[in-house]
Amino acid sequence: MITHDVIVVGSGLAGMRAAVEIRRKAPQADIALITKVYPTRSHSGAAQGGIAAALGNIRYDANGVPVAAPEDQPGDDWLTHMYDTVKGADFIGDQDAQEILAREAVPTIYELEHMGVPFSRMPDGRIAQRPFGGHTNPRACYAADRTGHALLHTLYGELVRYNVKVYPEWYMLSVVIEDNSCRGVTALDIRTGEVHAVNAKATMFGTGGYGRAFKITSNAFSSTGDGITAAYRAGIPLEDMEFVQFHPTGLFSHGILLSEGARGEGGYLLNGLNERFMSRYAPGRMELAPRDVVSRSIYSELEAGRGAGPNGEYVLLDLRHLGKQKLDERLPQITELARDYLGIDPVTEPVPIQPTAHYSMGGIPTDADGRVVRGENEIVQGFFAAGECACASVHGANRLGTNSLLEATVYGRRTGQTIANFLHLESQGVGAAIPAMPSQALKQAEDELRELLSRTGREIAADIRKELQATMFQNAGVFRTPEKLEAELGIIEDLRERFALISLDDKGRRYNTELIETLELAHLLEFSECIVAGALARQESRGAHARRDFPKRDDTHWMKHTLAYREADGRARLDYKPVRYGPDGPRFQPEERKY
Amino acid sequence: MERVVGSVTAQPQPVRVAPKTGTYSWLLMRLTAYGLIVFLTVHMIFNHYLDLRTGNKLTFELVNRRFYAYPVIYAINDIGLLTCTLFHGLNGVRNVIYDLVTNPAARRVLTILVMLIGLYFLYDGSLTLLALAQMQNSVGS
Amino acid sequence: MEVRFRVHRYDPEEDATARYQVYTVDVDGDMTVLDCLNQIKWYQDGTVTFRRSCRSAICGSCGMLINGRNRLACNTRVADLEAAEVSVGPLPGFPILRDLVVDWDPFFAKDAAMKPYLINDTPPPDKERRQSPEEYSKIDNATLCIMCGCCSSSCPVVWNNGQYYGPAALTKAYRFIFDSRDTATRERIDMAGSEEGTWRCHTIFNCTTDCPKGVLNTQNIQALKRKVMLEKLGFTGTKLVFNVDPIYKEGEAQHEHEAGGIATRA
Repeated sequence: MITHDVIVVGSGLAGMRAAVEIRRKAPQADIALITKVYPTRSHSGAAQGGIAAALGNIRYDANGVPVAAPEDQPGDDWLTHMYDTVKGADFIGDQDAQEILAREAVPTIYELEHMGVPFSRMPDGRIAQRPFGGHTNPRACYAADRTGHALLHTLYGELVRYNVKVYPEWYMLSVVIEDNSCRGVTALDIRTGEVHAVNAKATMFGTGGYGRAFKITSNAFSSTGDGITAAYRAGIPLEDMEFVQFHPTGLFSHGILLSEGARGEGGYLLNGLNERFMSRYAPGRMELAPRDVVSRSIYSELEAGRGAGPNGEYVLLDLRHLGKQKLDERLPQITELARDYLGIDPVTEPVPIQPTAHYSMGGIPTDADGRVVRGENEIVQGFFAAGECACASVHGANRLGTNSLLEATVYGRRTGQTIANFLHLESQGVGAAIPAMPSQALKQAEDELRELLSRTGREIAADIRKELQATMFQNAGVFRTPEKLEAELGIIEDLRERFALISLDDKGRRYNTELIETLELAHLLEFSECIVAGALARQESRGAHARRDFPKRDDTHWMKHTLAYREADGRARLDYKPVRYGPDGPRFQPEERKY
Repeated sequence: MERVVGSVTAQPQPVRVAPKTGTYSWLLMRLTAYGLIVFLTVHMIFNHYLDLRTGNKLTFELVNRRFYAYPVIYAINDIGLLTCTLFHGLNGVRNVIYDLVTNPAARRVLTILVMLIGLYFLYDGSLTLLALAQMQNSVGS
Repeated sequence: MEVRFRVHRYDPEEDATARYQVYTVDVDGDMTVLDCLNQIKWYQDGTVTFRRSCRSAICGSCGMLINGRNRLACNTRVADLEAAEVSVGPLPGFPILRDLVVDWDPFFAKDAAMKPYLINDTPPPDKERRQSPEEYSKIDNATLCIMCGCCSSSCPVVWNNGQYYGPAALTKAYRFIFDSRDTATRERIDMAGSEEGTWRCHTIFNCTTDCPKGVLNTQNIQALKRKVMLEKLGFTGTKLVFNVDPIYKEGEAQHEHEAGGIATRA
């Protein structure tokens, strides 16, 4: 048995930021970080375009061109940022959390800069900012088009600075919750194949999203919703799982992300007739409308037969007019990606793109301080979550670009503070005893692994995964219909049955990546049902959730969060909880969402 | 268990060898390289080139006559050349040793050995060159 | 198009020696080496073991020795290799855990030794520390590093001497020493400029050639050597710095990257 005061699962931005914050605020605490990869391999690093904060270094001039704002007259303020976030979320976000996000954005960015993040700069040395979809002002701070990478590597450095203990390549198997208090996790040391129980006073998840449930996705192979599923299995409901963001500009057929920064810098979207088709759907913001709007517009164009390419399967991202110099300076990575994967040079040719599953708005429900809640407001002792795996809910039904890096760092930091305070409580003090880990937890995890390895059926995991991803993309994608969603529920059930009949080639324990992939597939099969069931039940169109049969938002009936509970038979049971506001009620009232 | 603790959060490794050695050896390697260009050029002209004015064939007598004419320049140049060559070459040997041997004590011993070899050859070669210059001087006068 | 894949197989606790196993994959248009390895793992032999994550060349998991060069499996298209047979091995010079998986621990320990975090003695201002675009441009190239290990494992000095910090760690040192916001130059130079640091670099240029992100590792190390020398001789922070900073011609990185030329260990 391994014991720590705090165990952080996940080494992305949220997990690392929280670990650093705990180190700062509670230096005596014994803290460790478990990750299934190495800290610099986490998918936060793939974020490209920027991180939002109302620094106000740049503003639009009268002609809508971004220019430097005078130093004493910031061109932006946090309330506008909050409004954009609330509106982007289609008013179903929890406004207390959204207020914190926008308010704490500015100090969080300055803090990151002091940690050494290599931000791109303005001529006078201030942090440069650029326009982004759904934001009123240019407020995306960026490091060329590798902002996530710059942040991730800086925070990895902070881990080294604060000498945080890391268990790299440990795969979390389950989270142990007893008497509504979290006792820690069980984890598989991938290298040795041993299963360990890790007992802790406070357990925090920063385990990332679930984009891998879809065929075309910008997410890493590792974005399989492990933490979300572990919490779900431990009795925590999953919130708003039906809201899955599709990023408009994924590299055609690969799904690899081409940053929204490309449009922020002035890129066009063209259909097969060479029209800037966004004028039909969002004349006010054109290409810089929020992602859900742009993704739907692209699908509408494709369905109207105005796609580009031999089969009309994609639209085009045109960057040619930006010129080679600007592309090399501001968007070098996506230029390289287009060259490497499609053999297309964005300097001379438009790039084929299609919407790609990108971000999970839903996840483990938390309050505005990162504490995991069950039901409406029952706090689970010693269990915390932040980042993409959590649902605070900051992003509501649709996340704005650059708000995810922001959420990971703001809420990583905030959750770290919450945990530090939690440790300072008398009963949880650093010297206090760690609540006992139930003895059967380890055995159960071990038995499940043994059972999985001993299966001798005829099914191949890859077939099941492929079918799940393809049908999820088709049936629970950008536009949804009840028929397709119902069909998908049947498919998932069928695939679960087939999953029971798989067998692995690799029966060993040491560095068995086939075993890990299979465990991840089990997770996909588990939470996909929540996405589909939630989408089927929600009879309205809101943010990223677009129903053909209910094309309008319905605030009377659906201004509430979905909660999916796992029943004893493994099926999801849906419940709902109201949207949360700050102590003074809603700052912004719902209005029609037009761009 | 110990492995994971010692990975990402490994404590910085101590500096193993006096940090300045590498600096000076690199700097002197560069400087002796410039020295080699100068001294070698003079040496080549002095010892190995034809008498352009007369087009005479290069003979032992011809070179000898040059020695008689400029004994001091000759001695200084060739001792300089010897110094630079020895340092530059033996520094290369030292580098090879440092690549192959990682034990600090062994490195130190071998470096001293190389230095001693260098000093011996510098001493021996310089004496010879000086003696030659002396001889030429006395013959010349 | 059918392509033969020779894949390195080795389990240190089972096998006395490593072997290469041949798989045949039907490769179409844009398939990358990683796509093919996945095909092998998913449909032919689940025991083939390798690391991968983002498949968009940013996480640094899938550095491998592919047809004699260190590359990322995820951004190497099989068609671009122009070979009927693709040989895939683990990064050379690192301890092997299984098949294509190497032990990162020594690599990360070397990185940690370089103090990979900003050190600034002055209290931070209320807002950002200023840094001009010119100052930023000095570290722009070095911040491209994704720590995939392709550089350090292409370096013959690293193969030979496991103690040498290697290009990745030295580029990290460079990234902070030349960051206008960092004040711990002296401290960093003691580490980067030690005998196992810059001075073991013999300008072989494999690290620059093999970097999948176009980081100019060897050039960075040369700039570090000059910086270390000036600091050690006491020219701290003098105007001589202009002499130290690397000046790259436009497009040099790309050129170096594509030129190839210097073969790594096959």
